[in-house]
Amino acid sequence: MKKNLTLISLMLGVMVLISMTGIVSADASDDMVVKVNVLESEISFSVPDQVSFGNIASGYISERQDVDVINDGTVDVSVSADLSPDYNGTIFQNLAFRDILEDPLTSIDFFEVEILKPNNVGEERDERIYMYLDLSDYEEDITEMMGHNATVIFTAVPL
Amino acid sequence: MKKIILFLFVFLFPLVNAVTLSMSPQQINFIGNVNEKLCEEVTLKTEGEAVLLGEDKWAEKGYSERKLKQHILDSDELKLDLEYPNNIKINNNEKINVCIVGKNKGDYHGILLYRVEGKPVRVGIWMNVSLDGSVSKITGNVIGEKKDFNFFFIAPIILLIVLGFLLWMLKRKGKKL
Repeated sequence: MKKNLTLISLMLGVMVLISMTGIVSADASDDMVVKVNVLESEISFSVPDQVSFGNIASGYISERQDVDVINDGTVDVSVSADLSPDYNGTIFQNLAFRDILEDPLTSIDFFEVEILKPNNVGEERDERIYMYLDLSDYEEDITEMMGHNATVIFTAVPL
Repeated sequence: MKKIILFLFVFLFPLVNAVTLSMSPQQINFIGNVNEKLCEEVTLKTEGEAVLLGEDKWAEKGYSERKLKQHILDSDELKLDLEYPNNIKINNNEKINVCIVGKNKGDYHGILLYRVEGKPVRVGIWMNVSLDGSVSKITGNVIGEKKDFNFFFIAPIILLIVLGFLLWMLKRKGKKL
């Protein structure tokens, strides 16, 4: 009987000790581990690779062409436009832009638009800009040029 | 017949595609000494295979604002020697090394630009160069994983072993009696 009592009290003692120290490690320090995947900041954007102004003649302004510039990176960017250095004509030097339809036209040399980062990582933010070929003040004689073209380079840099 | 041609024109030959180019990080910092070779890694991403053309432009010494149009100097005008691939064929994703050696101490601000050959997109990342350590070093806090040994996790196991040992002792003692 005495032997059994000793055994039971010993087992109880050990159980109390176990319950006090705690088998689950979180009880020991009350810490909670939080985890996240932190991505490197990325500049990423896209533009259409072609815009056509149809037919135009000296003294006229083209129809408006809508261009969607997409920021799918993780930083706010400033986007500007330049003619490719390979272009040696004069027609496309009269490209002009509007960020807001009510604003006056801005020459390609001075055009710059800010596109904020998307609301959430992995999403994209779409900004519509308006592009014109403004030959209303073009004074040189134009000989007929079918399919005349130039490359416009859109450059995005972090703000 | 005309309808078929129109159908083919409209649906089978979509003329407008979007071109995407990505670069990371958004800024690289070169902090060191004159004539020391400093290198940083940059990631380039495209959709599929593409040839990228690289170039760098710099602002006047001491200028540090992020205004692209103020960055019109070539690196040799500032006696900066840059090494990076200026014509590289990549397939989706590529890491490149950008290295710089400067001959004069001071702070420089530049932009590294990459463009998809024959396409209208160009992307740039800013470069901050500080030679001779004239600006404060960049510091950061490191958040580490908690690694200290948790005694209380193994304590119950030890106690169970002790209990087993005591039970064995009691049993042995009982047999003797």
